[in-house]
Amino acid sequence: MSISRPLNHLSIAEAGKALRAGEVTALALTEAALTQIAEVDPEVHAFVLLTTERALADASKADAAFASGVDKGPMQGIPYALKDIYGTAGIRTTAHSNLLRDNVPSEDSVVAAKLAEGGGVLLGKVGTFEFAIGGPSFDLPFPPARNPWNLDHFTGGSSSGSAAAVAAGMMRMTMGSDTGGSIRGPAAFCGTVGLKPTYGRVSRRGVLPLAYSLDHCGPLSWSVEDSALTMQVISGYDPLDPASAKVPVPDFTASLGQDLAGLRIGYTRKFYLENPFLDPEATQALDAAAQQMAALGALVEEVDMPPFEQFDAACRVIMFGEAYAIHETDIKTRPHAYGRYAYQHLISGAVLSAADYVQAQRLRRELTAAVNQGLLGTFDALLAPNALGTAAPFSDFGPDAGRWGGMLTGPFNVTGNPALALPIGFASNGLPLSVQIVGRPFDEVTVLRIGAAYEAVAGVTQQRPQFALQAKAA
Amino acid sequence: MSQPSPLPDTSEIEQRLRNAGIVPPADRAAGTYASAQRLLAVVHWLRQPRTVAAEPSNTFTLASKD
Repeated sequence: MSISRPLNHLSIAEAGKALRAGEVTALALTEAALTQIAEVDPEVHAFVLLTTERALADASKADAAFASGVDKGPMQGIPYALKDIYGTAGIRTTAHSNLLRDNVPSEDSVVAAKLAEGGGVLLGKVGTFEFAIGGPSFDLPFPPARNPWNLDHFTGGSSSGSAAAVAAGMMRMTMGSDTGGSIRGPAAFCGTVGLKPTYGRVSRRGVLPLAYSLDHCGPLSWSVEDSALTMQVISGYDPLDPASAKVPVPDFTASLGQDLAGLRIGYTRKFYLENPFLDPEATQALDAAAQQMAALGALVEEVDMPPFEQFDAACRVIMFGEAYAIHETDIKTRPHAYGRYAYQHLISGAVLSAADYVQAQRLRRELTAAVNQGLLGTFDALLAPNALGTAAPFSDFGPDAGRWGGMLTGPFNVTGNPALALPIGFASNGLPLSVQIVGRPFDEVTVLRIGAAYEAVAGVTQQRPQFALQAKAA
Repeated sequence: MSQPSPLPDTSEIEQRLRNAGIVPPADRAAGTYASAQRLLAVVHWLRQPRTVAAEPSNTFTLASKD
């Protein structure tokens, strides 16, 4: 393989192949990533901490390992970054908050440890909405990340820096977290792939929690294959994470490259069509994606889901209730340590009753059954909307951030199913549009298969923002 | 279709917050009340007839653990 493309554009698989063939070094990949970061991040603000020395040391270790015939898997020598809620031993972990601006954990989160043990190259920590729930705030220790497709627009959240960094070509993969859509939302708005794995698939231990029963850890990446390879490294049972499931870890790449023949996909079209905020361009793109999947061999049928409002109510009551329980002491005693947006969201959990929370969990059981025993008892996967439109401009955010909505991701935090955000095109304003592929519990393999098959013919994920392509590293 | 109940006004939200031991800082009160009101606007969806099996225990059917 001769490398004719910028090193920061190589997929994880392509870079891995070149590393193993001795055609490139981890140090060269890392330097290309650092150059791209230096070129574009002063405008994008994806990073809250760059760990250059650690990255160069990780790269040297990976090169030494390759030289001595040691191969720790697909992430060896590959640069990546972590959302700043992933605990990192000896490296500041702030949750983008004044409350934790000097917090330096003594241990790695499980995901950080697995990526390090797998030979990955940690470039640094990327920004988030404060405690994974705030908004695009300007009253925090670091500025909010900006959308690489249009810097006047926000990224979505909460994995804001994760999505911006991948979209701007700084690296192929970052880790995010998803409690109500915090991987899939920013992936949608920034035109990246984002996978919320099944609840219990990836350990959450050492990651700052937002809502215990809704939190998921997963990757955002340039391509579906990048996410599949990342999953190979970060998945697995963790007896010290109460939510972790003892299930076999499959080969997540096993079905990549297959067409969709024989698959039944339920298209949840009515789920969003009645939403008054739906952008007609999003509908057209979703319909076109459904047709493309049918052309790839899938049997695509329209299906009904329970009303979105039921999922939304269960998700919000559980999320705000659990989040308030986590932050109760600090929010009462140090209200101004929080930014305005996070404070407003977190404090609202205090007005819920115990009965509200219990009723939400009861409804959750019925909704989970309706999706899993109902729809996914018949269909192999669901095609669902992701966002109602494109990323809003920063100017839309006044003092009351909660007014902004537009995500349709929460249902699959309520049910725990794996859900993949997949770019499907661009609106007339030049901003990305996206869809969700939802699978049966622990069947990420089928979700990734569908995503990769669509991606291969649609070519959307190959497109990058112009200003990121013009940077020196590229 | 669920029937929404009347939304609580600011004084009721203030009372709920006081019950929780919270008085929001003055510069954040308006946003706090708006956020709380939006949350309370959806709870009527939770109060519809449920099946006997709809209880919070083991909501997920996860694979067996040690």
